[in-house]
Amino acid sequence: MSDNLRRNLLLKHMKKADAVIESAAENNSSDTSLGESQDTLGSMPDFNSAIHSQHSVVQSSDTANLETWDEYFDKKENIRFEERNFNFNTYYTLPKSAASSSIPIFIFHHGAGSSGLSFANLARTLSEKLDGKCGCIAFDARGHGNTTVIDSDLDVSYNRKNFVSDFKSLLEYVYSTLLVDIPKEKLSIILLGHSLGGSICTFTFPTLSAELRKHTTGVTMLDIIEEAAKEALNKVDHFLSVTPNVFKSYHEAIDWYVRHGLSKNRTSANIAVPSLFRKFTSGKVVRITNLQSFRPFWDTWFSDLSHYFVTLPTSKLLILAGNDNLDKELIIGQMQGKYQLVVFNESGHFIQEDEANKTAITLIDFWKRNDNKNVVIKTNWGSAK
Amino acid sequence: MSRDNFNFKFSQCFGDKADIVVTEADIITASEFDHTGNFLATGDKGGRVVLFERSNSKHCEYKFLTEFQSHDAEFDYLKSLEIEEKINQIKWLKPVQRSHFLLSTNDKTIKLWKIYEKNIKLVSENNLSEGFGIKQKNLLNNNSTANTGPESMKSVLKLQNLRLPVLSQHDKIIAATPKRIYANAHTYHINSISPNSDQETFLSADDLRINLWNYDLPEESFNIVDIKPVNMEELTEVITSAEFHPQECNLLMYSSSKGTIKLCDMRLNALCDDKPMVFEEYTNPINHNFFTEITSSISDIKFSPNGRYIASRDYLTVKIWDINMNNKPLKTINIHEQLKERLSDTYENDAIFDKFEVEFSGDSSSIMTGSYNNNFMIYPDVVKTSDDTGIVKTFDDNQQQQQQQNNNNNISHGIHNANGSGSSSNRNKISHSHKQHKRNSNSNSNNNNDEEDEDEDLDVDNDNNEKIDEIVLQADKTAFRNKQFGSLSQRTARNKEWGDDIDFKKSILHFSWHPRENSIAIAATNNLFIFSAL
Repeated sequence: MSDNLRRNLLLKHMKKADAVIESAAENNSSDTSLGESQDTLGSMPDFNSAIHSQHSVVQSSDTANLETWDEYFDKKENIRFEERNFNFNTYYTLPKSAASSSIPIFIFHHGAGSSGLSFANLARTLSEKLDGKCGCIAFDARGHGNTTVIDSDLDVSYNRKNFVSDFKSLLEYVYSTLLVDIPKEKLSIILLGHSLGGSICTFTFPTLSAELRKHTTGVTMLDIIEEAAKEALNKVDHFLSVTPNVFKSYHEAIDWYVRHGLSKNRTSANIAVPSLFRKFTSGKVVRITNLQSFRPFWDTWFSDLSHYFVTLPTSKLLILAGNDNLDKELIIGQMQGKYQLVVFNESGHFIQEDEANKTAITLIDFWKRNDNKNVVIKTNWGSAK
Repeated sequence: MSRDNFNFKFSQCFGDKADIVVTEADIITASEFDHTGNFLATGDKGGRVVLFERSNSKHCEYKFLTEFQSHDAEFDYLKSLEIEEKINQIKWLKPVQRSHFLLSTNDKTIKLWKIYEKNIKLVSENNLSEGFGIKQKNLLNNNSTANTGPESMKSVLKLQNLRLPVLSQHDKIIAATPKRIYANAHTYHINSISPNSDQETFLSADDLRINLWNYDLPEESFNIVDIKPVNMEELTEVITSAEFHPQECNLLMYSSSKGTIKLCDMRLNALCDDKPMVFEEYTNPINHNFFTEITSSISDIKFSPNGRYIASRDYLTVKIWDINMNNKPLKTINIHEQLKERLSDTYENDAIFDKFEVEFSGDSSSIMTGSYNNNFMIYPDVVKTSDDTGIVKTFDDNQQQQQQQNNNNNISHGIHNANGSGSSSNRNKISHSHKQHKRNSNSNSNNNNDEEDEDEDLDVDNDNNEKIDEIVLQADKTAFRNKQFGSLSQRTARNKEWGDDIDFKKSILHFSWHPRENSIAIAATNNLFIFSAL
């Protein structure tokens, strides 16, 4: 594999030679330097098959027992944004029917080092609870999962601004394409971000068009507090040094996550953890996203988050896992009733994975309460004429 | 070193000797002796580095010292590529006090490792351990449970009885830590690293670029050679190996897939690819065959330890160059004549792309390289340091019968004309009557000359019949048996008879020669063989 450039170069010469031979063989009669005209040279050995036959078949037994995304989402699509230079890997489930007065569309943004399938379990739970009358959309952000770069020679930056622009492009795309079949007056978009995703959702909201904002019912953040996050980043080096990046199989990776308390729910882990790794031809699974590579951008991620969240001109929900103390802005905001605060004490950092059920109930509640389409104002006028 | 000392015998073998399926990760991909020869490092496909230490100075014996995971597999997100953890090269640095340093590299990242002895201290005595305090004896019976009564505790911990816990030496382990990680400097796969003689800088070479690093600064490196064309479609050659001169800190050389070696002086220019000295042998295009382009690709180049010669290895030959003469090599040695007819086979099974190494002996006079069927070749004293008195090889059967089987004789009996094919008896006759003349040899036309010689006789004044000592040994299970069997020459003769089935999977690509004695370490898939002439 490390020989590719050299090998391809040398083989290129052979291919040229091949062409020469074939053309020469056709000119049998006129070309005396080839010797007897009856002489034909056999065809070139097929080097491609030789190379490929040496790669062993990847064992499929490793993934045999694991569920795949299609048990959780209806569709998986690569949405290509040339201007963003990325192909975003997106999973989504569209509402099965538009029968009710309001259709919630939950759009998820995962955190750093995670992937869209972190919300798989939550998405399925929501669909079940709402009887398919809701939409769920999750995607892999830049630098994560199966989202790929279009032109790798261009600079790729991971500061919050880029993530926000990516998310905005995606939302606009979703609004104008995927959701186009749903009557606009029934649309209730809810943005939900976990950890870094929460920060991105908060900062994306003001950048959205007026029309999109009108249809957005609320913004939710999962387990993210500005000060706590900044402190955690300072200590992340130790965490990264003890977290292995290579496992022998998907199962080993899942086991490690569960054993170390990073995931408390095995069902969620089974779908979320494998999406963080790529299986190499040698059989090993290697982590796709190296958090160290984001280091230069860390300080852009959470700056001013609390303030912005509290002042967002929409309904807000903050779900915490109970370990952290609110910072000053959030405490004041909560006392002033600017947002709803829910705490799940039993949960780990990945609330959507660990407590998918409770989160779903909370979200549905949040949507119903804040969605004015559900409110029926009884009026005494106009009925009896 | 005189020729007596080339009677290489099998000494040790490390690794799983069972013949069955070899785990990919155990295949050894790099091996290197340090500057003293007391330490040997090997790297494998699984990214591990294993160190051995000389355990006996009289006999060539090594014992396992330590092992550590140097590199791990990585995923390059932007290019969506797998980065293998296979160790491509290991190079030792000069030791500092009591720690050893080495550089190891995979395709993308170079790491500087420090290996040192660590004393583990443990608390050997503390206040709650037995034997402390007078009243302890009464408590011995109760001590097994965790809860000793409060009264008994008090009696232990009287002021007079308190002692500071004592740390004492428990164990000594060999620890390895990565001191520096030089990453993200190469777009293509790193094929060589080379420490400079100034002990402050080193170079790393990938397919198209060579970078210069300072050991202390992992964040920056300077690009000194760049052969990337503006348009990748016009790519014609890649860099295959690079090395610093062992004494001159300003000289470096690199080889290309086109069969050229370029010797550059860093003092001339910041970017060194401007006016290098180009070592290339002109071969008449008429003699080119279908595969010449591929077989002329140089796979490894080495400076001799005295800095006067360069050895280059391409698929079929080893060429020895004088550093001051770049128009033709001093000598060309055909390694495996048998392969010349089988080139299409090697092309089909990809063996033609194998990259063999070449090594000088510590005194710069001998060369070693590897081949297939687990064979490796040693050419004793093939590099002449002074003008030739010629290699007068007068060996005849009479001599051989008279003398005892001692080293000298063994070698003389086993002399082969490496440039030709034919039975050994024929050769002996030729060598008996032949005198040596010029140094240069032309690899291509030797076959013809052989026949002529047989007919003519002594005084053929022929440039082309350079006789080259060759010792061919095999690094596999037969080595265990052959330890007692047969003279060196007989073994060599046996090993050269390849017949029709060449095992291309059993290639000796990586090996290392001890810098001060005639001992060599050979990597054969997952086994490490040590041969020694001591």
